[in-house]
Amino acid sequence: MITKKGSFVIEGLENVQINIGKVGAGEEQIAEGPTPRPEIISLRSWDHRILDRYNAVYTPTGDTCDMCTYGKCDLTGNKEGACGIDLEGQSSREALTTTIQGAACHSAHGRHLLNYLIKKYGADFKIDVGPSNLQAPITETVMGITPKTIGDFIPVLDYVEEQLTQLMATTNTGQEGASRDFESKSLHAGMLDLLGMEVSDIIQISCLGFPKSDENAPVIEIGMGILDPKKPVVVCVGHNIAAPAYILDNMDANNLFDKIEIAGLCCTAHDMTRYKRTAKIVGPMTKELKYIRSGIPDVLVTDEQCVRADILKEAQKLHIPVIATSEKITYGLPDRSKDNVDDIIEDLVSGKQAGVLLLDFEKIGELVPKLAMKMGPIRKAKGYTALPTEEEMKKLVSKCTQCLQCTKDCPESLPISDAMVAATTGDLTKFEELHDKCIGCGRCDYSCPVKIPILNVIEKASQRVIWEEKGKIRIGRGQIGDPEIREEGRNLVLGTTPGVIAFVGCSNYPNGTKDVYDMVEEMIQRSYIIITSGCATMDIGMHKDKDGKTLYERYPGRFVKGNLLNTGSCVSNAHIAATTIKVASIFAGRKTKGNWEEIADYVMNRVGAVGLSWGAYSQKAFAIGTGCNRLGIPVVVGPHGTKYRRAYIGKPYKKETWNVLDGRDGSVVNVEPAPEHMMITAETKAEVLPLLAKLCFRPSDNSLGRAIKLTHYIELSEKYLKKMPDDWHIYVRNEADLPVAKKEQLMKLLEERGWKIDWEKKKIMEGPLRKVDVSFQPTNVPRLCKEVKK
Amino acid sequence: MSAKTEKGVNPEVKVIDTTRQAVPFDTANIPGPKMARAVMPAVSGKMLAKAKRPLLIVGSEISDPEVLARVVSLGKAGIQIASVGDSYAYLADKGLDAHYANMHALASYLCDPQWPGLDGKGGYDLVVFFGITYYYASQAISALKNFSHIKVISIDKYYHPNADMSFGNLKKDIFLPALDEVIAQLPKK
Amino acid sequence: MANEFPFEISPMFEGERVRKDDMFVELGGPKSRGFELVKAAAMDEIEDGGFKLIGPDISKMEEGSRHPFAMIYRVAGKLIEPDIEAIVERRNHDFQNYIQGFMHLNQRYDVWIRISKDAIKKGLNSFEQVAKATMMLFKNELNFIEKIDATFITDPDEVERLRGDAIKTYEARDARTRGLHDEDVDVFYGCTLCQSFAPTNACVITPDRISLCGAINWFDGRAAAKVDPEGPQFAIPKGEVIDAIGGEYSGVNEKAASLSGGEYTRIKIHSFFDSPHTSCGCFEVVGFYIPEVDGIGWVDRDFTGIAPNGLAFSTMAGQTGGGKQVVGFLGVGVNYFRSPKFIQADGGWNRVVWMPKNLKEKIKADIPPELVDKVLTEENVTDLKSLKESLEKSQHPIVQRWVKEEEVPEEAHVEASGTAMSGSGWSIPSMQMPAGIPMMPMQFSGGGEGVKLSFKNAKISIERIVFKNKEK
Repeated sequence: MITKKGSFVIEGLENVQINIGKVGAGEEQIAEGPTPRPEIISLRSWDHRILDRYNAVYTPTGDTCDMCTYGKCDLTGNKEGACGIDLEGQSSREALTTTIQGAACHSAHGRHLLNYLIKKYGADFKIDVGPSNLQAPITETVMGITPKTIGDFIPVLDYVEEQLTQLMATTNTGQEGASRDFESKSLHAGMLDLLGMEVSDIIQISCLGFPKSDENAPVIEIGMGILDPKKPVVVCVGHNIAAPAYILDNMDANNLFDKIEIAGLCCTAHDMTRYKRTAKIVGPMTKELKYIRSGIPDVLVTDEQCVRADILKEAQKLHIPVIATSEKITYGLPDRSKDNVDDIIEDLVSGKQAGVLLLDFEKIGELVPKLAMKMGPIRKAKGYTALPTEEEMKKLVSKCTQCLQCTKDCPESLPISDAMVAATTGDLTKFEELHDKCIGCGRCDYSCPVKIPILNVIEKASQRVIWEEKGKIRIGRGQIGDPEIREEGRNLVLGTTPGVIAFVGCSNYPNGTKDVYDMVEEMIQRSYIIITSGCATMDIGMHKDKDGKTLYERYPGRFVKGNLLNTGSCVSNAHIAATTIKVASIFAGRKTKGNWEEIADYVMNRVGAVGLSWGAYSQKAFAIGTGCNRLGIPVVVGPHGTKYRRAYIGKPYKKETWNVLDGRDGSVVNVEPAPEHMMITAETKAEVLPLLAKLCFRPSDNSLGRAIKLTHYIELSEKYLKKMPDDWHIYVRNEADLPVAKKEQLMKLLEERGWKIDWEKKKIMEGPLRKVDVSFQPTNVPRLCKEVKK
Repeated sequence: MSAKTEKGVNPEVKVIDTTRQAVPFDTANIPGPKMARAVMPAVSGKMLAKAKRPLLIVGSEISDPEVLARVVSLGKAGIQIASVGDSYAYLADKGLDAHYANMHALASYLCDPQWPGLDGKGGYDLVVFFGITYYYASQAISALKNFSHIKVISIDKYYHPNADMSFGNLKKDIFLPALDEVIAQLPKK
Repeated sequence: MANEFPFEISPMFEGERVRKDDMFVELGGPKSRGFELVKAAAMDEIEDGGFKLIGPDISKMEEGSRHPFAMIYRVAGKLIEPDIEAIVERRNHDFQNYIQGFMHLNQRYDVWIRISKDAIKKGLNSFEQVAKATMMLFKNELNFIEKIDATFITDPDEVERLRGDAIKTYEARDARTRGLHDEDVDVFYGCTLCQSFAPTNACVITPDRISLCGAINWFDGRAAAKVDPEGPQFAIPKGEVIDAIGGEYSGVNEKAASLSGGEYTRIKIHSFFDSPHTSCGCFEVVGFYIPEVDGIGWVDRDFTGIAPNGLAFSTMAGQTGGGKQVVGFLGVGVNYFRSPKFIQADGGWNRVVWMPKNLKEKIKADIPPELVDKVLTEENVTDLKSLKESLEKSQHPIVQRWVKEEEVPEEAHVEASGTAMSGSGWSIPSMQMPAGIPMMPMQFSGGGEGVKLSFKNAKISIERIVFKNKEK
């Protein structure tokens, strides 16, 4: 059908009824792809494509199920329980529940923020994330709309909430029975998580003046050692900026930044510094209990997510009043939102109440600084701290019987008794080492049969290093802007940028925080682009080189090779995934609106990006990873990640799972395994580095890119594992793919494998899986092939 | 320095009892009703000796020279080694039949009867392991426990509930002799 | 893997900087003299891998000293010709930077090199090692080099003696590049390197049009096609001239369909409106048509402001690129402004009405002198009305294109879901043109004035009405 444009005149209208639906201003919201607002089933075939290649691998934490009153059912050996579900099904069901929890966290955070920001700024407040054609890439791709105002996000969150309710329903006993489709639902939940995060961050960036794709966001200090404990100290813990923003505004209006130290723990800290640079960051959630026990905070403000459940109990012991500011975490405290600020302060200062629930932001803003000014001097005078004195510590460490119970209760199995023994001789170095590896969980406190308060001992013994804990990070910049991506296109094509690696997630590291610093340093020197967020950002910023410089000071924050970016808090992770969508739009002109499958297919086959969550602990982290997987981005998790129960692991030896179609004519092409896995774990830092390089390979690599990527894969494997990778040759399609510095040696090795080399022409005649053809258009989706299209 | 728990044993030689402290090393790591049988080293050693195609998996905790020496002995006795984590860095120049593998992927492949093995010569009938980060190994082998028929024996110094057989939690001065006793069961090469 | 050199060679050392305190010696650079040169030679003149040093070697140099320095490579092979020299020579910089502890900056007679103390400690003691490593890399990457030798010079007199000739060689090359035009050659070169990201984009590289990303010129294309004729850079025989001004050639059109996977079948290399050359996404500048003045404005990537049409770079850039031929917007590299054939199909510089000040400063030398002041920037005008007035005032050549406009009736835009695509050749952007831009004055066939419809007993359901302001 040929559509012609022109004009016509309607001469008569007789008995015509004209019904008009919506009237408004602005651009058309026309979906360009087949799946705007996908339901649970809408992208199922895409999910199955992923699952067929990247098998779901289950490593259950328990062999039983106790979800319903038929149980507990023993499912060992993959038996079925009373309801008919087997261990595979139960494991995938648990993975789904985890993903839903993560997605709900971020989306509920978004909903809370959205309601509040609309009330304060109006639904017509324009979105502004910086120089970008696609202002909300994930929203566009999932929903099929182009949001322009914050009010445009209302239907987005409506959709997310509807989907999450539907998904949660499927986890009830007697629902889905196939693990394959539990996985599809997980992937759906993961996608919803990305969407919820994007909404959350975009609205706060737009309304609260956060940096907008700002590569020059300033570098600020972070660490337990940066606050002045002689001043009143306010610490905000959690993820939601709404309440802390009021406190910061109040302090600003009353010139209190010199008088009161205000800092954040965990993602609230990121967003506080994006809001006002004068706020400070103590650190990631591993510092929560440690910092409270030190006794330094004079007021604790909690909001939501990753907040310890025992904060009230711990704070109470040290006379630190707790102000709970979110209905999500209320600790049984009295709701005094309607009361007079001064009355509340009196009750808190006198100790009549250990804390209050306060949901009125204006009041929070007024109360907290005032409370801090009162509590500060009182608490400083008393010197409240949970840490033992030097005398007490000497006694405590000598009580240790080396029973190892604490090590058995420690998530990292830390050798605590060795440190105790050393400390009896006055040597504190083992404790100092332990302090960085200790994630501050406090489980050891319950384990010691002779009642040594172990965490307090570790902290006391490490005072020297704690006061020196001063790092630097770059304030969260938000999105990656279009001009940066466009400029970087050349490097990505020519291979001068071998890939993009995202260091994200929580701090449950197997061996301390220096690992992530070392990994970033290694890869950034190799010109990978490193993007960070959340707790990982903070840990990376805590270590320094021999000149005393942190990585954020040494490397700029532009989206260009060898640079180090911080997107911001956990919800800023959405922008990392969104960048891959932008690549598809900018470089290939792919339509995004409502077009998830095509975009994800593009990303999986072409965009060499991988995420590493070395210390992931939460449901949210798992949801983010799963969402990235649905978009075609592989993720590596630290060893604790096996406790998520489910991974997506590729089988290189099953050649038939590595077929793609050539979009030009629909022909089947067997390709090298790239990316080899979608979600996998690794045991140590040394193992991860070559794995990250390998997971940046893609079938569409041109030879320049492939040669550089291979160079790093081989070099990293030789450096850290003392061997060449066993599968390097699989990624060689022709001689131009060979690292230029080692070409001859590698060709000899290939010949030893039985490949045929023409030494005169220096060409590989026989051996590779396939030829190189830059014009080859890899796709996993038959309908995207030209032949089938017509 | 090994002793057999049979009649006629020299009473001065220390008995290496690896069946004590058979509780999960990580206190709460209790997976379910089926947990590993605590065994003496000779039992593990004999199983290993009998296996037609055993696989030894070692991980990043083998850097300790005394532990490493036992790995090498096992390797030299002809057992194929899957070297997970960064353990290959310690085995590289020892002339062993060692292959790098990612533990998580390895667990997945071991559950697949169609997997041709690390050397392409087929599947394995017994998995023996030690020296891997405790919780990592425990999780990974829960896949083998529930989704494969391969026998898994831990000869590590931790009690591994998800294995078929395991030692209890051992201190190093028991652990090393226990390994020696395992090795002693193997036919000399 | 065994390494025959006392240093690592890897792209990871590309960005390595040797600071003054860490350097063992400095060669060439702003405080000394030097040059690097590649010359084509006959096969029998060269002993493959040969190395000659004139002057003191590294082992004889004092720590902290500075020396003049020259590197002369001779290359021979069946496919080697003088035009290839510059291509090979440019790689000297890349390859020497792969050497750990060896920093190479700039090119030609500006070369500036530092060797680090660490490199010396690790065993680097002779230029021969550096030369052999570099020659190995040259041969590994550029397989048309069958024989290569190197002469390094650290003797000050010898460096001076040969430097003048080297500079003459550079000048001759530049003159040739400047003097070579599309009509002087039979073959253009195609580049599809970025099809890994932009599947339908291909650059046609001619003497008057360098690649969009600026990395590949006609000589580079030629060299790469020699290395691997089946590779991502390959020859495109021109064929017949279909349109000399617009730059349309039968040979190019033949390739267009296969290169773009059928996306388009004609390319006018120097046209903005008709079958324009596509772009991937990395273009530095986007051109946009301004119907109100029938002129073309340009905005560069770094400009953070708004163009007179009310749009920012990113929004306009989003309308083009992606390997699609789009009319109304065009992505180009800054270097295309320097081409003597710059959009000559549409009037070249006479059509250019507006660009940001920073961009204008960058390319001032390439704007025809009589137009320099008439091309407006954000300092002169920021909206369409004042743009039109200023152009009229300064009598910019564009004014001559203006004709009296007839009243064009307001057109109803009824779009079904999905996009309207016209026939082959070019497509109208399916994105809505933002407020303020009426339809472009293009003629469409069919469905014009004169058709009258009568509705009887009709029920019209309108799902949504969108209001657009006529005035900006």
